[in-house]
Amino acid sequence: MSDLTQLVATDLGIGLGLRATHYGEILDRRPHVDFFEILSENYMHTGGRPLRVLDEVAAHYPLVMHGVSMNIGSTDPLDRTYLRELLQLQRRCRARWISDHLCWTGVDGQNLHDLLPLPYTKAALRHVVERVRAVQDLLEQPLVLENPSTYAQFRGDDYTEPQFLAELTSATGCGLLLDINNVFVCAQNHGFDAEAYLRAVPWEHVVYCHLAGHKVHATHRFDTHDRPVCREVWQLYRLANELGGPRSTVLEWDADIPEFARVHEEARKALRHRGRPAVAGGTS
Amino acid sequence: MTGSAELRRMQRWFASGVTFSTDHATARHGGHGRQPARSPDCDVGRRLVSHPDRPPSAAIGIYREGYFARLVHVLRNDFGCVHHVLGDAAFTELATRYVVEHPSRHPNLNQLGREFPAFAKRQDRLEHRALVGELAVIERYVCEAFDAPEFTPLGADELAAVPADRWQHVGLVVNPSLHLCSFDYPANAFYESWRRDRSAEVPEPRRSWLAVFRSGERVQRRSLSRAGHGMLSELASGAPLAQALAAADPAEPVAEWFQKSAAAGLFTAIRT
Repeated sequence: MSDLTQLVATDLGIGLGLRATHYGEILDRRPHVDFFEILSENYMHTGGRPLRVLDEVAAHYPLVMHGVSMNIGSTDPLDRTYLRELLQLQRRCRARWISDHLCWTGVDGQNLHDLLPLPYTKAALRHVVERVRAVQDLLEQPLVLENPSTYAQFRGDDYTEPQFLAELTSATGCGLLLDINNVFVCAQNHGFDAEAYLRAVPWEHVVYCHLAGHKVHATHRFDTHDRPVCREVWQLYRLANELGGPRSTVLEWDADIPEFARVHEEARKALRHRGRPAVAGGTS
Repeated sequence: MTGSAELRRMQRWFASGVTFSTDHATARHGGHGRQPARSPDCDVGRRLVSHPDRPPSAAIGIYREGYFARLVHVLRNDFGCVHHVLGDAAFTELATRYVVEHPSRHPNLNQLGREFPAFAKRQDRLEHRALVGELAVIERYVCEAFDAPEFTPLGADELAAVPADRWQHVGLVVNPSLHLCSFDYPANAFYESWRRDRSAEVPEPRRSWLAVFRSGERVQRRSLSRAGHGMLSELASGAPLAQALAAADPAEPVAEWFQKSAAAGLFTAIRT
């Protein structure tokens, strides 16, 4: 089994989410990018071009895997077929780690394709701990879980989100993907202090960070990944680097995606906020 | 009630609230839309909070709006030509009703539209229903061909190596991405016109036949004659060449047809 300490210490640098609209640019020009994060489901249950592109990108860049359908918080049985397919994909592209979200995505076999909120209760913690352990046993590596953007919370919670994350990581040894934009979106939506959240994060479990843009609605902020990172999120990213040291970081841009150079430029802004340069990772 | 049982109850309530469409007009169209399992005022719902300044119902509304917008967007991408024919409002209504009746049960959204062609064909009041159904079939098969497993096409040398006296008895394994279609409209010509300039006039009915398949990385649509469709259907069902040739058009040069079909990547192996 991979060692979580090793994953946490592996600073791959500044990466980008690999998106189909940029395939041509990446394959033809092979730009200097530290690593790419793939959306796992985009390369599962498919043949042809996506897998050929993946093979070629994997030959030139380090990859990490990020999924949206593990359904780790659901009360449905774990989908072991899905998990085995994840593992096959990881072997194919030699991804450094596998991540998903601390959420549930469906129940009774239905997939809502959304990151739905969990109550942060003792019962929910026991439930998720058991499932994370089962997933890690099957994958034979630490699972990396992301804090989601949420638009609802539950009365009567026993923990705040960072407390829940601390309990979960302590009980299972899993890793964390800390999405800085999600922290800010949730802080605005639910009225908590984002800086206090970052100070309560169990940093020894944070494997990497996400950055993204979000949309401001009249009643809430919505995690859209369709625009540049806002000033407040950059400030939080700077604080995160002060608190936890530099971590591998991925910029996500999933809608209204501009040309590759613009996305790459946005990602490279992260360098200004990092305390130390990347010490590991690879490029073409 | 145990903690997990309570969590399950909450998740069922939450999911039914997210997936319930109040404006999908299922009843009006005679469909089978599901009703929410519980009222948002139930005890589980009362545990839900969003922002201190907003009512709990606003929270689930955000998820509900996102759910339908996201899945309808996926269908709009997969069925762009159907969207063109119906217009945005009618397509959105059709797609919303489809999502209610056929919720996703697969980790991958590329499976969402699997039943959409059959669903569209069942809608009595749909404008241009027959043509729309055929276009939906083409667009779904294009998606399926794109995602089909890897394969190696049959080489010309492998074909040439079959002794002449064995030809009647062998079969040809068809490309695993191949889908054969038989239409009442010139649906592929319409689809091609839409792809070329995003505008196409609704045609008069005319029988047409089509093969949709992937060759290398490219998804191809190859118009067929009735006889060509018949021969490929026989081969796809595992029949030997002799049986497939019975469907051939005597006026069509069969050897040339096989060579062109093999060169296009329609076959992957010889079945002896």
